[in-house]
Amino acid sequence: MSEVLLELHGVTVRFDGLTAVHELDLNIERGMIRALIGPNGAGKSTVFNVVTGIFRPSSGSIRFRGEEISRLNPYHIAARGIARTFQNIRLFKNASVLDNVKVGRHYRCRSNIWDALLRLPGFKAEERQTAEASLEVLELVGLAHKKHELAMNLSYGEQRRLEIARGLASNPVLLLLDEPAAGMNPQEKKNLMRLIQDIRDRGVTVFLVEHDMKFVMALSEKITVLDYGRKVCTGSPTEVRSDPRVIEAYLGKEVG
Amino acid sequence: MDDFLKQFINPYYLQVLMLLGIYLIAALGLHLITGVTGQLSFGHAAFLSVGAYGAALLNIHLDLPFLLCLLAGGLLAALAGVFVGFPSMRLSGDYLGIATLGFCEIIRVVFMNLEITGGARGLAGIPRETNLLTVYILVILTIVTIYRLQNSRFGRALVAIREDEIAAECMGIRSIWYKVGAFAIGSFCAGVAGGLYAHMLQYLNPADFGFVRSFELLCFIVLGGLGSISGAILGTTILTLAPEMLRFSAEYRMMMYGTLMVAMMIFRPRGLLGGVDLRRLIRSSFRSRDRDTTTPAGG
Amino acid sequence: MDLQTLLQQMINGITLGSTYALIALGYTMVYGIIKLINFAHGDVYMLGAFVGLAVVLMGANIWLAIFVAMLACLCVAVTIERVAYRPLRSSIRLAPLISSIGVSIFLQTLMTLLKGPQPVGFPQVVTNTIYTVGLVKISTVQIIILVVAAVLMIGLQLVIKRTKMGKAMRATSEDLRTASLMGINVNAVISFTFALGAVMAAAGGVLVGMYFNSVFPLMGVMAGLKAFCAAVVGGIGSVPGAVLGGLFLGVAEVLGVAAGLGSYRDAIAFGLLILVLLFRPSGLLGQPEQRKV
Ligand SMILES: Nc1ncnc2c1ncn2[C@@H]1O[C@H](COP(=O)(O)OP(=O)(O)OP(=O)(O)O)[C@@H](O)[C@H]1O
Ligand SMILES: [Mg+2]
Repeated sequence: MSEVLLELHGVTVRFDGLTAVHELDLNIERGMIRALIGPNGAGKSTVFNVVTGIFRPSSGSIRFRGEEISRLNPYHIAARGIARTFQNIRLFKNASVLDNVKVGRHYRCRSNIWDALLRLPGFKAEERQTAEASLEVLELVGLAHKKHELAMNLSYGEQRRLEIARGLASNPVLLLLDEPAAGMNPQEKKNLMRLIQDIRDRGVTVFLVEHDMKFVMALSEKITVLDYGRKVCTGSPTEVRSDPRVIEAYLGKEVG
Repeated sequence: MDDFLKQFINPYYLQVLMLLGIYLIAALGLHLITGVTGQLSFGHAAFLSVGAYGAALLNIHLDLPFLLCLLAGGLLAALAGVFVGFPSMRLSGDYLGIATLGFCEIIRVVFMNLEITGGARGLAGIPRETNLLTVYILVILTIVTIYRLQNSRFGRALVAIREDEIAAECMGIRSIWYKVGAFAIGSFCAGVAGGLYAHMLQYLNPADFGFVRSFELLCFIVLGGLGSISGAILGTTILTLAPEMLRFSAEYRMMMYGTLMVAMMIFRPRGLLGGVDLRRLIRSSFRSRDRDTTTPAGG
Repeated sequence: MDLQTLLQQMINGITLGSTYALIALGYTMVYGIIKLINFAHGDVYMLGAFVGLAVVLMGANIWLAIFVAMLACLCVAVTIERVAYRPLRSSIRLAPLISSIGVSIFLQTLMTLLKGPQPVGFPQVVTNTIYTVGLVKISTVQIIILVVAAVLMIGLQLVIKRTKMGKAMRATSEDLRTASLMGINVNAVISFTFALGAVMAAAGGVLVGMYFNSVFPLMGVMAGLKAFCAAVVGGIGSVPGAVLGGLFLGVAEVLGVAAGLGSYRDAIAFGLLILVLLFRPSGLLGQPEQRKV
């Protein structure tokens, strides 16, 4: 069995009164495309937020490569190699596409205020390298030709891809994608699917939340179903598809 | 140098030009805090006053060289910026603005009551050391500094914080350090400007550094186009020189100033240069020129 | 400080605080609805004081003066909103703020041009008897201020809680977009909010003129700023909060002065403001903000 990268154990998240995630156990193995699905309000985004340190869990433990991260701040967690995208795209809208990706490389770089002021060769080399690495990621998501465009001027699908590029720029170990296909047309979805596979093939483990069942089933190797903050089941796409509890959870609610 | 210039320029205009340079330095500092990092500050004048009093007192009492006084004034202001910045970082948006306004007024009242600053009577007897050359060398230095900061890892982090603090933190940016850093550098600029101001007017009064002055500085950067260096420079220049051009009585002038502010906001709510990216403009004009030259050859 | 002085200072503080509260209401209501710190509000208060003075000088009594001042300020505030803020409603957050500073400068210099920068005396309009109640003394003027302020605040509360317009105001301050989708005439609601705030501030202006016997073009600057602090301390957006905040700052200021901090008088309000912001950023009665991701 391959190495467990991320390990949630008994994670509960409460917002005054409401329990968004209840006693969740979840393992993410290295090198997989892993999915988390569930009806609206099931607590999927909350799981992402708690893994990336935006919320603290009310109880439970979150381990990343063996290290407890549930008490860390988002910037510490990012530095350990977890990158993410957001369900409601959170780009730096008034910055250029290239600058968005460069920010993604933030903790991979070292230069400080003095370097910026004096512009010594070391600084210049690092800037050059940042630009190259960022362009390479933009190339990968197919946005290199728009590098000088402001992020806010991109189409919806392009913005989603830029967010992925920004996350990838830091060479993360684990990439969390919150509804990456939302609002895309079938062609864009197909391209996105290939992109996510490419990302996995580069050795990045992908953990994604998605409502489009066809998309999830085709892409992921292992799926966890969440309903009202509780885990319904975990299994391969075929197992999940035929599980009566899953059908019940979705019954009367939308199905992809 | 100034004596030389005085042969050609009316000393009053010389003074106005120096004042413009001083405001430019202070406004560029605020530009870093509010324009680039997106942290609303209604208290920038307080840092100006810390630098002004700091530099003036060091000069009067310790007889330090002028440039050292300026530096010390700037550092004191930066210290005040950190002092104000740290607790304020729990606040965001308007609340941060209000807190900085509060700090600004408290600092003014303190200067009004201290023995050493001359209290409400003001501080007189500051030697006149500021001259046009020093001011504009420092202006250029400030522009280069801010430009270089903006176009670096540090500056990109500041912009990321302005655009979306949560997303920025998820990219590994420890936002509080950067926000306090921006406050410190911006206040340093204000402090240096304050030192220049003190050694130009040779007299300081706490009433000159109230929140009205803070708002004035904010108007400078917003009117020119928030977030761009050229916008900050343009806004400061127009709003500093316009009242001098309007040759009416002081009251009419202020009335027109107020009207102008409302009108500018209505007709160009993003500022004069808002939405205009000079670098992009230049780049695209180059590109179109490239195209002009290559098309005939290629086609 | 003995008990008698303390009680006496409390009365004086509450009187001063209720004038802050009257101004604070305008700040808080406007902020609650369009998230604008209306820096011209203090100057509307100043205009109210001048209009009241003019009416009094024509021989009218204080009630008529307050009424006319209210009407005048209502018109002014609605016009300001229409001309200087409404066109900016969808632009960047700082635009209306800068615009309000512009309006503030305009109004201050306009009055300076008309009346000169020096304070103008406010004639004594009521025979100012001093009553002794138990340990403390209270003057006719103070009683008028307290009664007028109380009546206005209760009236305001009734308007907000009982009338259709008041309900629309509350809906709009919850969520402007939803309110307009539900068919509420948001423009009318906003004008109405400015009008209400101006009416309160105008009354405050006349009362303060009468209390301190003087009126001047820059009187709205410090008073407005402190009233704004009061609104934030009480919890911006909350009407009872503004009243509480006003009274709190008024009492603190008067007690501070009595305790020998006279020369730091103007810093007291700001010091309290910062303390409250740091420990309870949403103010004494405000709702804490939720962090949404
Ligand atoms: N910051 C918050 N404060 C209070 N409640 C919250 C907060 N964030 C989420 N919730 C609640 O937690 C529950 C789970 O929300 P979450 O966003 O995780 O659902 P989701 O599975 O991502 O749904 P969707 O498919 O709609 O994105 C919801 O009931 C939501 O209202
Ligand atoms: Mg979600």
